[in-house]
Amino acid sequence: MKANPGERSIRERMAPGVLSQDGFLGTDGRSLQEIVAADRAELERAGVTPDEVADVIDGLHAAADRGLETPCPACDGRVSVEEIEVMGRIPCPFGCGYRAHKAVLRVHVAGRVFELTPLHAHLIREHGFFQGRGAAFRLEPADAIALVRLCRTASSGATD
Amino acid sequence: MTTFLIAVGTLCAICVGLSLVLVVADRYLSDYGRCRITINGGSRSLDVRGGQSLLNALGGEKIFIPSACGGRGTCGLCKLRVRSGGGPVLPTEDPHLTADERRDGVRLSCQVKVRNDLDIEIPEHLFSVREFAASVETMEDLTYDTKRVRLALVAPPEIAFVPGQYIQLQCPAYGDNPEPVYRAYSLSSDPADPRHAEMLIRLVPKGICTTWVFTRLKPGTPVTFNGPYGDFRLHDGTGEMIFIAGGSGMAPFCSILAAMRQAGNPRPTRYFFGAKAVRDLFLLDEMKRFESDLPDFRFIPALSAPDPTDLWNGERGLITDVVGRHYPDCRDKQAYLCGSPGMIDACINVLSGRGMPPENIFYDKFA
Repeated sequence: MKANPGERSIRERMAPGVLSQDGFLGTDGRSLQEIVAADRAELERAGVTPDEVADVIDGLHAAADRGLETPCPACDGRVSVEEIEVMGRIPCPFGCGYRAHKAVLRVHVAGRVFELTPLHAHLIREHGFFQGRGAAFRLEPADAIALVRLCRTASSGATD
Repeated sequence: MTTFLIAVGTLCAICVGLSLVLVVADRYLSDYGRCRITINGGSRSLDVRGGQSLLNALGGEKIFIPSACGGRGTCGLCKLRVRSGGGPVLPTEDPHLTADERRDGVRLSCQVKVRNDLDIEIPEHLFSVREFAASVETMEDLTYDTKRVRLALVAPPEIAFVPGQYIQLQCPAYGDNPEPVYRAYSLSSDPADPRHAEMLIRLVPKGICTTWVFTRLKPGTPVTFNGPYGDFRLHDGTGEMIFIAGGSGMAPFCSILAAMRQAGNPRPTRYFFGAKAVRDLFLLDEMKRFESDLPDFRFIPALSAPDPTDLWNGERGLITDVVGRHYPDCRDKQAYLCGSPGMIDACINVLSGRGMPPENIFYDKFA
């Protein structure tokens, strides 16, 4: 699929070293539309919406904020989160004007650690973008689905 | 086959010809000649080459406007009021401007192209900002993720700054990073030593500039920075001062404490420094020296998640809880905060809740 001029400028902003050290696309050669469509399809098959994923990430950030860089529990203790905030803001590479605080949220869950930033929730909610394969901060839809399920059952008081 | 080669050759020649036409057109049709930039109602006037960005035009005249993104319109820091001649606001600027700013003619100077005469306003304090060439004198590991970088100034050979101010360090193009970027770091230097500039730099996971600092910078490396910037500084008063910091937020307080020592400042001062564990603490010996040298100063480190092996007998808990325990009433005190936005917001809540007036709370937010 060819990139239209709009996509070209977005891809330029997503390149390594422009807005972030490693960029947003990793080694993914697909067009943005293809990346977004494939990840959306995976969510749909699992019955999860981008809004739900973004809400969970927002909730994890809120929990981490209270910890002031100290690891603290979230999702009824099923997840541990800690966030390192640094100076500055990073704009959305889609050029929509959104600017997020620079921070790295570490989510410890079941022996794994996911690194997310405040941009994740916005990119997923507003643009359906989980970042390209191989990108330093790509959140695999399968992991996002697992997080949603974990936190959804936690917040409803159910056990799994 | 020959026909095919001739066709390809002809096509290539046409493409090269068109490219040349574009280059020549750009060279001559985009020549805006000399333009005049009138600053602050005529207090200064510049004659500059047209066609460049306002940010670069001012930089070329040694007027440095804060910018962290190297003029790509992404950081939104290089705002100036353009009274006339700036043309319409570009879509790239729009997201960075509030309604009030748009109404007042505030623009991103990196996005305004100098095509004609301009009338602009620049805050007076930016005229004292200079660009400095320096070289790394020492790099010291303070913790596993924080370094103290000491620069020896080359040209100009000295910097004058108010303790609490920051500089913008230029991270040159390297690796996959195609262009230089600037990042702000508070000065931790003793202002009595103007031939050096010192910073405390914490490694940001996958950060452009801190990765460069941690992997490429070494003693002898030439660097460029500009500054000083910022209005974080000690304010007049006689009551107790509460300093609160975490991580590299330590930096401005090193500079402020050095100035207090130099001046023999007698104000009661308590410095709360938040960290997770002992391995996150640093400069403890220097803080002890300040305790000895200053008439009424105490350094109070607090750990929120000490390791069992830390054998920690000091304060425990989030820095907000520790401060709250020490101060049930903050009405007659001043607070100085440096750290992440989350930490600062949480501290402001605690201090305000204990009666500290907002005008007594000063902060340098990483935002």
